[in-house]
Amino acid sequence: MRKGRENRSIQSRLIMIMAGMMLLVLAVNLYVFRQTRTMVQTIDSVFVSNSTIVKLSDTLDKVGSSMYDYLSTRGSSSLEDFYRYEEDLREITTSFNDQNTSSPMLMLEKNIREMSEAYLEAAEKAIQAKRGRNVEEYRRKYADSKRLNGYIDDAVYALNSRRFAQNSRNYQMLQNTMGVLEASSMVMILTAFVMAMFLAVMLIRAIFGPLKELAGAADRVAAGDFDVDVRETGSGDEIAVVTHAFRKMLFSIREYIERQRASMEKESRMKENALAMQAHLKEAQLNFLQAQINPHFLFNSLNAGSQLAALEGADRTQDYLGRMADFFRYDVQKTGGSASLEEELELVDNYIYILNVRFSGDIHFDKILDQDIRLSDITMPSMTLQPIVENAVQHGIHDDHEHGRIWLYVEMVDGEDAPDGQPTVMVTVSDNGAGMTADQIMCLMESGRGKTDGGGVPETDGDEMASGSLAGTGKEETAGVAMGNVMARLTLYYGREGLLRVSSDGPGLGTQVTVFLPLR
Amino acid sequence: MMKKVTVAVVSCLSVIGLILLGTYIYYQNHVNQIIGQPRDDTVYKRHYLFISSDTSDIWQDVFRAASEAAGESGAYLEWCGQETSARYSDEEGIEIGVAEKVDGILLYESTEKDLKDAVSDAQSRGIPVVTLLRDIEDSPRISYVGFSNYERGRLYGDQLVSLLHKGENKVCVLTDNGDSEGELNLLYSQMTQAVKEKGADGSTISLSAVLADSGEDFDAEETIRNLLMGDSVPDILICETSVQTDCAIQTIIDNNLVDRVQVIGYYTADMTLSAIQRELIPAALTIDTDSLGHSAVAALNEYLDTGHVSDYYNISLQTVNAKNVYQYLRMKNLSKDRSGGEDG
Repeated sequence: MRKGRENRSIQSRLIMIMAGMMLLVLAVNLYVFRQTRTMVQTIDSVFVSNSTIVKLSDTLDKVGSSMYDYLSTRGSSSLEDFYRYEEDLREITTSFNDQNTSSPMLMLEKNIREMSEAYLEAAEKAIQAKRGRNVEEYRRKYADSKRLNGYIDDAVYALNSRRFAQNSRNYQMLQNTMGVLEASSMVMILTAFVMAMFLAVMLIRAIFGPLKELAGAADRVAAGDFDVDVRETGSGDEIAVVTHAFRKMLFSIREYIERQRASMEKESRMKENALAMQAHLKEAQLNFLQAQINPHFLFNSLNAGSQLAALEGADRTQDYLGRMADFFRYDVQKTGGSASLEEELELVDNYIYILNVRFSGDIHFDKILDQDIRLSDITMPSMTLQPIVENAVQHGIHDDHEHGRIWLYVEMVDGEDAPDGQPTVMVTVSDNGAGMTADQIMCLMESGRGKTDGGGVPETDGDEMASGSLAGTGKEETAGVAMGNVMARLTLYYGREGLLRVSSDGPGLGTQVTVFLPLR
Repeated sequence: MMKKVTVAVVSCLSVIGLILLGTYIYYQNHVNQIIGQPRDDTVYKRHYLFISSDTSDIWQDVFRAASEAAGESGAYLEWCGQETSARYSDEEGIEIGVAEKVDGILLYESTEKDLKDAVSDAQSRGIPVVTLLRDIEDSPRISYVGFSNYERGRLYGDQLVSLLHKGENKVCVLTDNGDSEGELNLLYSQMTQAVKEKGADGSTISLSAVLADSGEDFDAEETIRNLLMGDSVPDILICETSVQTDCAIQTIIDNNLVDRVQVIGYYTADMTLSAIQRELIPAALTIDTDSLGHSAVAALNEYLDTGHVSDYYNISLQTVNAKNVYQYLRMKNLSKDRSGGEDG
């Protein structure tokens, strides 16, 4: 039953409600009509009694006049009229009260009834006496009937007046009752109207509410919000069907999106795996390659070679291999960390020695150190001076080793010479080589700043630089990478910029690279 | 939402239903009042007719008492002509009673004397007649309810004695058509006897009678006025009816004759009682109207129930004067309260 009630269509609900309202209004109107009709009939009946009394009086007069006519003329038509009116009078008075009651009006009716009977008796006797030609008798009876007629007239008049007064009161009461009936009918009709309007509004809301909700949900779905929740109406009508279909569609869309997402995630994971595999492979390859050029392996091998040279009495070979091992050991131990100035200078010495072995002593390098400076107490980022010296070798004096010279100065400065006016160790690497144009200096500084601004230390490290510089890769790229790396690491180490300056008087006039090492 | 709709629908239907029910009940109650039979009508087994052309207070009281008695015994008492507001003579009244086929007639013969035939006619049709305060001689009436003129004359005489002055006192008795010569003679003799026996030495009365009510309209007032404004103004005026008493009181007040004429009234209408209280008149004779009404109906009932009845029911007379007027008033009010106190 509940399911059946829920599954009514809009059409059937509309029809039911409209029919119900019509029936209610019809019932109210029928009731009002019936009551009004009854009221009118009652009002009519109120004055029926008056009309009956008037009819009695008229009939009485007719009886009297027909009797008089007969007594006067003895005409047969008068006699017929007399008997006819006599019958009419009896018929009328039969409806009158014949009981003794406490109601004055009913007693009047009784008296009229009895006196009418007496009157008709007297009239009949007069008629009989006339027919019997008893003049005295019919005259006497006529006189009697005339008196009785008078008494009846008086009673009729009194009754009529009373009835009329009562009927007028009753009429007034009926009018008041009619007024009450009208008012109550109006209230009932208004109530029925209000109820009908209320039901109509409820029905419209029931129909259009879900529709609006559905339209709103469709808009949100169109805008991309698939998490819309559309409630089931539960009414079982057409709206419910559409709502249900919409929910199914929404559910299907979400499922589809979910599947797509899952599929894409799976694909993405697969790609990631593949990439990871590739990366691992490359890493493995790298590791393999690295393992092949593992600095530990390298300098251990070099040490072994040095020892072999020592065993064979090849002192210079021993020294060369030892210095090579020291160079690569330093490179491994100090990458990314800090070192003392003494250690940095040792690395530079080793580097120059190695190069001089390679280039048969053509690299002219001089160090000028301030003896007041305790080089072992000055800490700085590792692999700072060697790349600068390497740049001077690669770019400064590369084309003319014979005449090229490199100087390395270490001195203490402060005041105007220091970047911040504080005592600072200044290390200057200058050469008399190719020199640089202002643009080249600017590009060099920009590339270094760019790497610094990019955040973090550039990913070039000693190994790459070392392998790159020793292998003789592209000059400018190598210089930029190295200088940028040094600048970045200086900035990161000391927390400030401007600790590396490059200057040159121009092409062919040498280059100076100055590194400031603030005391910590 | 369904709950809201249900509540609203049920509420509206309830309002409509209540209005329908209320309207129906209201309508039925009012329509019943209008078109239905009177709900509290009493049905009586007998119908009596009260005939009296005198509609003064005394007869209103008698009728009220008789109605009460009739109602208690299951009879309806109708005053002939009251409903129609027509004035009928006594004979017409009897004729009406016969035509209405009443069960009994209570008759106060007020203006006419020749009712023997009418009473006989009624009696022959099985309608008994009881006469009140005035009997119809030689008529087949079944009973008479009233007082004796002997007693009335005696009471008048006692009152006269208290009013006489030295010398001759002119006493005038107002009569009407209903008084017979015999009754008047009895009245006079009793008054004279009383004065003789109880009157002061040197006081005498000269009695005269004036017909105050010959049956013409407004007769009493004209006659009394002429009498009191004329040459021979009586010292003491005796009234036989309440109408005569009211006229006499009004005349002596209007003409400043209160100290000149002593009026002995009849019955204790409000005006008469007020006059006694204010000492405008010395006294009035009165009858017990309750007793009269009840006795009259009792006579009819007894006759109809048993076929027999006493020929005479005596009603006592009472003198009301300045000494006992307040007590009389108290008793009268008590009696009114007991019987409802309202006119019928």
